Amino acid sequence: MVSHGIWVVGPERVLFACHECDWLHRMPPLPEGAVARCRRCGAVLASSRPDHLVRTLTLTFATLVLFTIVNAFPLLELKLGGRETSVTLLSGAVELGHHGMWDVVILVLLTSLLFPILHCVALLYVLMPMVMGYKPPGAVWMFRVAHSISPWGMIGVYMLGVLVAFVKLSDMATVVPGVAVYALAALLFCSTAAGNALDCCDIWRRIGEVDDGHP
Amino acid sequence: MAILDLTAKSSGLIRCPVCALVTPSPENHPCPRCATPLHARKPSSLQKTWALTMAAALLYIPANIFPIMTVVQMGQGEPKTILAGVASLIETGMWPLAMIVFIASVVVPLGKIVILIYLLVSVHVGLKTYIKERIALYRLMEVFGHWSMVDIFLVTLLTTLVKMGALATIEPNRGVSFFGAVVVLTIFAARTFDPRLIWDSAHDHG
Ligand SMILES: [Zn+2]
Ligand SMILES: [Zn+2]
Ligand SMILES: [Zn+2]
Repeated sequence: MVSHGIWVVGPERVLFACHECDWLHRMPPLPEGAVARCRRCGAVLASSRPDHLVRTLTLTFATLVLFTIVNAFPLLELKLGGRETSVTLLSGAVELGHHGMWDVVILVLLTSLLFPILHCVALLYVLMPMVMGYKPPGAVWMFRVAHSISPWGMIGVYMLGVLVAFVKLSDMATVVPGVAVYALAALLFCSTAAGNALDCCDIWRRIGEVDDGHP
Repeated sequence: MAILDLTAKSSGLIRCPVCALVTPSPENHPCPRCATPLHARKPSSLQKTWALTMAAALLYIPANIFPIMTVVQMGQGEPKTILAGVASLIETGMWPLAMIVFIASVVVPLGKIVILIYLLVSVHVGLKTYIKERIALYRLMEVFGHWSMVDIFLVTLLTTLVKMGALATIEPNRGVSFFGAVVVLTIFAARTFDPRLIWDSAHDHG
């Protein structure tokens, strides 16, 4: 009954359990653009996302490129009484280290920088070879990494923090948004779009399919 | 879509939390596709969620008692707590900002703690009603849970930027660490809670 790593219950129908209420469904192949919801609780079970591999790959690559731009330029610049200061993603993250708050430094570094970048790298590692038609070694492990760190990336919240800082400081000094703010906005757009394009169920299906060692 | 009239657990099946494969696996065996250890329900979900929620609630006290930053302008200024910071934003007429900071730093973490306690108690007593409402609360928590990080990011940005010597400086204070701990604990608490228990407990107790 098990073929290609999927528990098949009938012709072309896959057994699916809701992640929020555990209700079982027999899932037929979804028509293009369709969304399958749980009968009992309404949670989204799966959705068909045509061309998702190429789309996710492109958007993830764009996100990674934008990350380098965000890191190379200041987010905000402050001018007051002839003096000037600026903050970048990295300088902001390590600043609290000067005050001995290394726990906060680690939290900020992980959520605003390391996890989002690692997520992109892990996705590219799995998707790039997959688009070219083969499975990279350790794909299962890398995709698991991407899955488990994705809730800890907080670029959207960080962007809100930058906006709040901008408005708050406009009251006391001249604040100039740096190049990195625009890059960060674009990055947020690309990473959100990549998340929406990603069809993780299909990727697991492909990973399982190539993996012949498993039942 | 065809449905079966039962849950995976009651059919002796387990859904992999990572790759969504449904298999007739024994408890704590690795997923045949992605090697994640499989459990019909998140292991010791209630105990872990209780512990994390209580720890978050406890640390929320020092997070609010201790100041989170000190704004010194023209030699004047004192350390301020989260609430004092919101109050000073209102004083300077920055209502929208005051609202954002208040919601992110007070409403979201407190709301998460209250929702988690309510969900935990409702599962313990086997509440049979308000299932849809409780699921809605759980989803609300998932969607807005991260937003309490705004204050942490804000403090790091402000302290890095405002170093104007005698004119103005902003320094971080110990409250940031406590608040950061609250944010991390509430995120872990929400993740260890298993929403399937809401449905299980509504059906198991008779
Ligand atoms: Zn459901
Ligand atoms: Zn999926
Ligand atoms: Zn799995």
